[in-house]
Amino acid sequence: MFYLIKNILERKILPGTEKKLIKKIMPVSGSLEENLTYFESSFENCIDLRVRKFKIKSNNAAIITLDGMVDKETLAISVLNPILKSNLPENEQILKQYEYMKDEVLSTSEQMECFNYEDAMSSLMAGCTLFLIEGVPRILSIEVQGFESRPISEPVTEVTQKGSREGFVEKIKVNITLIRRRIKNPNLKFERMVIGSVSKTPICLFYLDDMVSPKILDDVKKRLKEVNLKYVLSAEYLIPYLEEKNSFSLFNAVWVSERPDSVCGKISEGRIGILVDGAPNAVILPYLFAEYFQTMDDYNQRPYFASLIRILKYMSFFISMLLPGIYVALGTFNPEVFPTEVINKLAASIGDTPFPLLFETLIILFIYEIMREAGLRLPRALGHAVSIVGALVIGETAVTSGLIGAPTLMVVALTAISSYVIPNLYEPVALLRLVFAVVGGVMGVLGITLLFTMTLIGVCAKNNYGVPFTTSISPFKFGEMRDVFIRAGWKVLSRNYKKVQNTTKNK
Amino acid sequence: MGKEYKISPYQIFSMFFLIHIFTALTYSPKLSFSKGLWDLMLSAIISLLLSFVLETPSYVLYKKYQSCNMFSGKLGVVYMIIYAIYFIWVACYVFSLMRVFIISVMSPETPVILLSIFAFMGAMYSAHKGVHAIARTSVMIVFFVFLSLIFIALSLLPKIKTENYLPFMSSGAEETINGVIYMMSRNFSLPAIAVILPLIEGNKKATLTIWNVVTHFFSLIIIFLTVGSLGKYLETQIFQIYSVTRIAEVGVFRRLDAVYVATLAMGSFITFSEFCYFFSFVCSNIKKQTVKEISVLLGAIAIFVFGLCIPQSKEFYYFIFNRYILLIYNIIAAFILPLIFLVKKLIIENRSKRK
Repeated sequence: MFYLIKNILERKILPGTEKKLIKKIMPVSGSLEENLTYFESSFENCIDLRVRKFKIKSNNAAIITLDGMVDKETLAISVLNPILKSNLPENEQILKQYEYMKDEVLSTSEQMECFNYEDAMSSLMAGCTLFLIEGVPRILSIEVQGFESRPISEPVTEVTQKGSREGFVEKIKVNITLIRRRIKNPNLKFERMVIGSVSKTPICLFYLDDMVSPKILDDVKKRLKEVNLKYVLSAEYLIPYLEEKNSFSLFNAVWVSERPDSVCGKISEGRIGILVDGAPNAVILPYLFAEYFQTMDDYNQRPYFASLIRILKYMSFFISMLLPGIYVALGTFNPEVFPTEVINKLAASIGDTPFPLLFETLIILFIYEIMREAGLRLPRALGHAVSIVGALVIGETAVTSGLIGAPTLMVVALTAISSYVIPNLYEPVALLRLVFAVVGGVMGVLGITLLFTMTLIGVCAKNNYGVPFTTSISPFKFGEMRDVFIRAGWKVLSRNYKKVQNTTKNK
Repeated sequence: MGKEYKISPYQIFSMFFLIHIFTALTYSPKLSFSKGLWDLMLSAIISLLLSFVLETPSYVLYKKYQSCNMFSGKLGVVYMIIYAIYFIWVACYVFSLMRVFIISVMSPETPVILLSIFAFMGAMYSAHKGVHAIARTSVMIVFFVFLSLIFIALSLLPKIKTENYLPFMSSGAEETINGVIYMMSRNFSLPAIAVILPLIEGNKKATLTIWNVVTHFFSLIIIFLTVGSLGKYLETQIFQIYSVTRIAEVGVFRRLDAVYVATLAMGSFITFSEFCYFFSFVCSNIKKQTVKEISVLLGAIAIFVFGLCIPQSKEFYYFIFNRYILLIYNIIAAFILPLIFLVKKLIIENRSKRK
């Protein structure tokens, strides 16, 4: 049945869609009027299209811009003034005059000649100014972009104590600069691509040519070409296309970072980065499970302290994922494992509250998630109010009124704080925490153990571009251990070991 | 499942170590037909030597003919059926034993059926994910298992009483022989080695030797600690190692049976997943796609149904998992079949050389 439907689709639907997809590339006309009509009709009902007509000697000319996309001062100084005040060679053909203006009059650094409307349109959309002259079947695209954008500021989601305060911004060119400034090496390559059939979003693929795995690079390019999105409004849109096919894992094998220094660190290890215009972050791949526990601060601190922090992060991961589940499982099925004093307290707490332990834990977990979500979306001032309502009103009152037990509240609070130690893992951990709590309450310690093993299998099964997601830990690589559970000193870290992406064996 | 992955020596060590730990942690006088465990020390040493013997044909076969496939040709179909049945049988055994364990010693409120369904679904998922996922997970689980076993061992050391150690074979050689039969009949890794060995890369001889020695050494330690800390009391227990962990304590930590349960659950789940995978691996050699899919499905249903039904009747349980039947099948699957295939290969090679 499936093949039948597939065949029908291939035979009947595809030919039609193909016709639609293959657009005719229209060459630029020599008539200025025709060219202007094309742009004006394309931008019908668009208030941002600006057409300025003028005469150069006896020839009609025009510049087309999109309002707010160009730097008007630069346009006036570097484009309009030189053109209008230029001494064009007399009695020359219009094409020669155009060439003279292009090469000797205009003082802008970047120009591009467009021979068809599609290229001209893309340039205009990117904020370029189009220069058209009567009788010249070409359009000169001049880069005088100057739209308003956010200045470089400190990343909000990846705060560091000692590292750089610079974070990516929405402008792709600024982001490229932020990377180039950190790796001053011609081997650092930036390749431009356009993604999104409607949004035509420029993206930039960057890597260190001498470090990257050519196989993975080709694979990434192939996958990017296969992206069938109409709009690409943030870097996260690309993640499903860059991950392993049919991957239903909760964990991302592709990383998104706001920090140019972190991204440069990964690029120096041979990874591939992608910048998306309009997104204040960069996508890095392939990404490993152990890297969730690495932050920029680890490398700015003494190795002993950094190693302690690294171990704490792993412990926090397990606490935030497993603690509510284990608490519910032991409290429900095996309370005898607790010392007598603790059992007494627990029994008193459970006895005083009207709900079963599982239900009680789930209620607090859900209330916590609701409060967290509300705090994130609200303005900062209101966010504080939510915290006060959450902590004092709900927490304190619920315990004193006997609706919720204090030990349960403490367990959930500890879990919540632990989950913030590894913010990148918050989403999968929050989901797993709920599942573990339910399984613990229904099936006890055995259920928790089984689910934990299944989660491990899910994580271990994950591959990205032939690189096992859990590489360094399993498959175990002793050399890589210098930066997994501990953070060795720089003298050890700087020693060359084989890069994981260049040893892509499915072990 | 069609794609072949190579497994590194330490991964295969971890996979088989967990199988062995599962059997070692579920030593039971009822199953081993022995009163205590002390004579099993000798049995462990003898079974170590016998394991080396049983591994030899598989090792020589894949050493000499690295890319040979036991499941090709007409004889291959027979091999396929024998190994498929064996792996289903062992998967049922692991599944049933876990159920028996839960029913016998765990809290009566534990929902056994729900847990069984959960474990079965999980094992199918693991088998579907492939050997690389199981192998990588095994390495991590071994780390947890090592830690918990060390924890339990340290907690038992103060409880050891030297008077619990009697002279070996004080009541004759019968218990030692029973122990050997028991251990060899439950050495499920040996037939698995015969099937999985081509997937191992690296030094196979060293891997198998280290695995054999280390796992049997672990058995010796477990027996030594269990007998030393419980003595005669062991004779009345169904799952002796579990009973030991109930009295173990380190500082504020008391009753380490939760640690034991977690260790056993992880070990048994991976063991169960491994045998489900081995079964599907054998079935993957079936050429007809529909037959292959149907056999995997039927195998999965058989494991689930038999795994659930067998523990319902004690008589049936002891009949179907009779140690002699298991031992004979083990020897056939681990030793005789690879040996026949090796001899056949050698004869063909000699004939072609003469021509």
